[in-house]
Amino acid sequence: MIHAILKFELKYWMKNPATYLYAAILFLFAFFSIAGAAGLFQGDISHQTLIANSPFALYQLSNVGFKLMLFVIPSMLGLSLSRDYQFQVHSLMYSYPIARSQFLIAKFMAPFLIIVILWTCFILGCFLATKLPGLEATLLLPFDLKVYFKLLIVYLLPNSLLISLIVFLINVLSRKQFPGFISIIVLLIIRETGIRLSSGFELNDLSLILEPFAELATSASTRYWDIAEQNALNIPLSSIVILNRCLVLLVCVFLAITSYRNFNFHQEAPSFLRIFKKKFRSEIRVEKEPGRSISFPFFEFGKGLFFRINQSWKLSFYELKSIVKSRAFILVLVFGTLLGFVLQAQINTPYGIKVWPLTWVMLAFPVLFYKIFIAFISFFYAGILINKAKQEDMFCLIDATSIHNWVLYSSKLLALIKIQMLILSCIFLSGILVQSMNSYYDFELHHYAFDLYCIHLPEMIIWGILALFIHTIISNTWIGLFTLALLYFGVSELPMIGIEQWIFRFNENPDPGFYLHYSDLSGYSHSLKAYFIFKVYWFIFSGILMAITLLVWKRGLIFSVKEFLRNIRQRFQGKLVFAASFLFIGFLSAGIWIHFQYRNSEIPSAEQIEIIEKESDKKWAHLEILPQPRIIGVKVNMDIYPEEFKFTSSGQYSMVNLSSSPIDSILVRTSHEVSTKFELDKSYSITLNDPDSKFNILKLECPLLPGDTVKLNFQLKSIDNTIFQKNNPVEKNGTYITSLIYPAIGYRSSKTDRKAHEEGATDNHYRSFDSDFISLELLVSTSEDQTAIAPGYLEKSYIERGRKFFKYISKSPVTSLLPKWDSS
Amino acid sequence: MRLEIQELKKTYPNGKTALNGISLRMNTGMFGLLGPNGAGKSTLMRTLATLQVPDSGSIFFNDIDVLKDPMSLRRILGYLPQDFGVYPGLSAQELLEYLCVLKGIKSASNRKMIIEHVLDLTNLTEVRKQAVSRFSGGMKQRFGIAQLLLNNPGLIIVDEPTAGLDPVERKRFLNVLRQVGTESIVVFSSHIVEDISELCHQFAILNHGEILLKSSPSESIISLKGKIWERKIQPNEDFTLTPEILQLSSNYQPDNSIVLRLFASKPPDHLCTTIIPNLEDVYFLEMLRGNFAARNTSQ
Repeated sequence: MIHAILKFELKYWMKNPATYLYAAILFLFAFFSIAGAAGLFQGDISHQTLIANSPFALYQLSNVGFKLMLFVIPSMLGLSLSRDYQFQVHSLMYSYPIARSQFLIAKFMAPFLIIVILWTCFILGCFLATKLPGLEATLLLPFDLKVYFKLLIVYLLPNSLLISLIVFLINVLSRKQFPGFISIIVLLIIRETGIRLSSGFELNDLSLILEPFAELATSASTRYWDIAEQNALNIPLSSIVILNRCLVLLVCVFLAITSYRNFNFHQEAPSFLRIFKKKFRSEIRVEKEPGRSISFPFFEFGKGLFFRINQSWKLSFYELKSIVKSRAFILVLVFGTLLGFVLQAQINTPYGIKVWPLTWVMLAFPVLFYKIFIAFISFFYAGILINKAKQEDMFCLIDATSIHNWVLYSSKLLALIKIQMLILSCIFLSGILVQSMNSYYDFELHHYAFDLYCIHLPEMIIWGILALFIHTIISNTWIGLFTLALLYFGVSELPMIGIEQWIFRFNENPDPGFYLHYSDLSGYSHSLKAYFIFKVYWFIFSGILMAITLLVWKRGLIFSVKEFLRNIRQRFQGKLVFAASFLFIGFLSAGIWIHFQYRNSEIPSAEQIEIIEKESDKKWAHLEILPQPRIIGVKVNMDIYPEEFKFTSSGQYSMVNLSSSPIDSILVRTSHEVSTKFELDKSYSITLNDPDSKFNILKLECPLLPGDTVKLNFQLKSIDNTIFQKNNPVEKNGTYITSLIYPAIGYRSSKTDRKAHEEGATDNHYRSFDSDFISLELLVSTSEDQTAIAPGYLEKSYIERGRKFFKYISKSPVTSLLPKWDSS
Repeated sequence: MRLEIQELKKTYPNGKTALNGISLRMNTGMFGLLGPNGAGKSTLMRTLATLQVPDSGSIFFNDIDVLKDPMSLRRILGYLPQDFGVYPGLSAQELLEYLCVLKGIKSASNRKMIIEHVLDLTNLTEVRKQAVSRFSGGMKQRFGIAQLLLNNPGLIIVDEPTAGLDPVERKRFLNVLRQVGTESIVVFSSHIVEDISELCHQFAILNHGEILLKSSPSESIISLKGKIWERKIQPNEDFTLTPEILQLSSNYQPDNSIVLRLFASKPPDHLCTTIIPNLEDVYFLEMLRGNFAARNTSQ
């Protein structure tokens, strides 16, 4: 009998298009990840030193693959038993003389074997990618079957078995597909909470053994590996990892036994799950008198846009209620909030120092967790909201009512937004609780509200709209969910395949984590405006998605593509055409506008500067050894205009030739961040002016003899901010300016700046190359309500023409550390 | 009130013709659709309920062109499908409130009043707080009636509602339906002849997507008066049927003899006795004629 059921189940999965979709996605994911890391998409990979298919790289890639598998496993194992109940086959099948153990083994093994096949596809993708022509050979190791085998045996299969058995047990108990997925979310939250609670940053052995996927145990022995070790070493099979794996297998045995003990061939699910259900009243069989009148009470139908909006608002509460009342959602919410609370409560643990539980800290600590959490909850419940009428077979009642499609759609969107708001509110409340527990009572409710509901919520809503769109065009909730997960993680990887412009990266924005740099002095700074512009841009796109969703909205029964297209044709008229066209033109115009705003940017990006530096080194690095005069005195006037977000500065370097030979040329390099004008107090001519690298060679008419002095006068002007780019550091309330904006004397190779661990780095300090001890005189002016702080002694401060002036001088020569100005 | 169906055709992608040029006209009152499983009744009902579209043809309810403007019909439509599910965990009252909002009933007080009324009418007031997903078949069907009444519909479509109900529930259900069917057009489909005969003023027999007969139960029965015969035969006895003598049905008796119901213009033989026709005879006769016609067409 076991063979017959197993064969039947395997046949079902092999006929299921979802199996092939999962296999294709896992294969392509592995294939392009390895090929990409080995240089398929990048032109210049000379700087890359990580081998694409080293055991460590494969282990990390398989970890990401496993995260994808977390969506696949519940979709398969969750269906193994619930399918029988869904199609009511169980009442037939359970009456046959089948042994319980055989039935369960066959039901479990079939989808699990498919999961093993999916992992094989993943490994095949890794292997075949290395055979692609045109890859960088130095970034690839020869194929080693042992490495893949070890990954499979130690990590992938035990982890998959654990997840599969959890889902299977939940399936046995609930006889439904979705609780399995919820149980995985809860498991992940518990895992994260456990890690946080047990140790913070330093992991203890117990947490290494208990963490169910052995990621921590492996990380404990690999996290200090340098690049060479990552490229060469095998993942060690430490005793902690072995213990962890043994424990996982023990848990698997326990789960299997529990599933066996709780499964029965009964019509109803195990009864202990129904203990909370209300007592059911027996049927009423009181006959009303026949033939009586049914005169209907008078009522009115609602009409007009306002009524429809109201109708949508009301319906959204029913949708919300159906979700919020479910045990699965309550579980997820409770555990999610608990983890948020733990993250907020642990602000002091990682660094071992007291951190004030300021509001921005409360918001910043759990932000990454709850953003992903809300996104995936939205993806999941969007599928539930879209498909539940069909799944519960209630669509025939709903679709025959006079409700407009857009009202039905917007009610689901509103319900989704309310769910998102509910989770954000939990983070809000837990933040307040943590602050209270730390005796911090300065509750900035407006800051909480603005950060959660004005910054993060719009981003979540856009994901929610996409989720409703995907679930409308893909009827299978799991495939929809899987697609959304791919999109969510894939969007941030678009630059890997050459799509770098923000206008093509769905729901993303420049300076992605700007809210993490919130300052009590200057708030969210410049990025907030750009963030909202991008959100408006993606909201317009979401509007187009909404229009398409309404076009393909499923109502009633559709039997052929012809009918489907006829439906679209019928719906694509009137207001919808107008709205879609308007949105499309708006989106296109906004995209072009953003694109040109970026193109007009005056300051090169960090990546562009890196390229400029490399080019510059090729041309001018040989000048690095030329003797140059040293700066001995600096006089600077700095005028900061916080209200206008700009500054101007002028000053003078006094320089002396401390070398033993005459100097005939002075090399001056100015900053990319300001516009600079300069001149020497001696006759000279400019023999080189490279506008890209901002490098100049000033040829002196009379060489500077040893001991001679020369003065360099300069004027600096900040570059105005654009909408999307902050080109200067001036803030309304708290500016921090460093000396790097001032001209530098001599040529400094970019290698000097390299980080200590990088090849070619030198020990030169970047501040020591053009000056020694200097005398310093600074005059800083700013708004009347601000104070300037600079190195040296404050000689005097005064107010003139509505501005406040601060004069700082050094009483004796100071080190070469050049000044910074704070104005706050 | 008037419902007019003209030349309705529907062929599914698998090649099955569900509706083959159906034309019907109905007025206020109960209209029965009788036919075997797979005759096309549910396709017709779903099409009338705007849940699917035909390949060609037209449907008018009063002045509403149903295929072009389904939304106008939905405002006055009450539909009870052959089989329907409900959101689990929601009580009858909650579900009715939800459906009231869907149907566009304006104020909360109106909704409350209507829900109380339909619950009372369908005798579900006492179980209004119970989850509908746990109702018995009969209670669920009464809930189905309650939900279709919410918008005081002018057109009620009820698709095989008595299938699977016990006799008491069936009776109760038909009583409720009779009460609501006095001021609307009620299209009632069934393969149980007795349902139609008890309820409907007009009926049509449908098979293979075609209308075989449209009449009133009484007229159709009268038309067979004097043409239905009964003949008792023994298990091994042969009874020869000719094209003029059609066997409508046969019933086994406790003594293992068989009683045949026959249709013939003249007495088939001297042992036959004339009997009072019923709607089942009409149904079986039309089915036989329909099958003959189909066979002749295919030959």
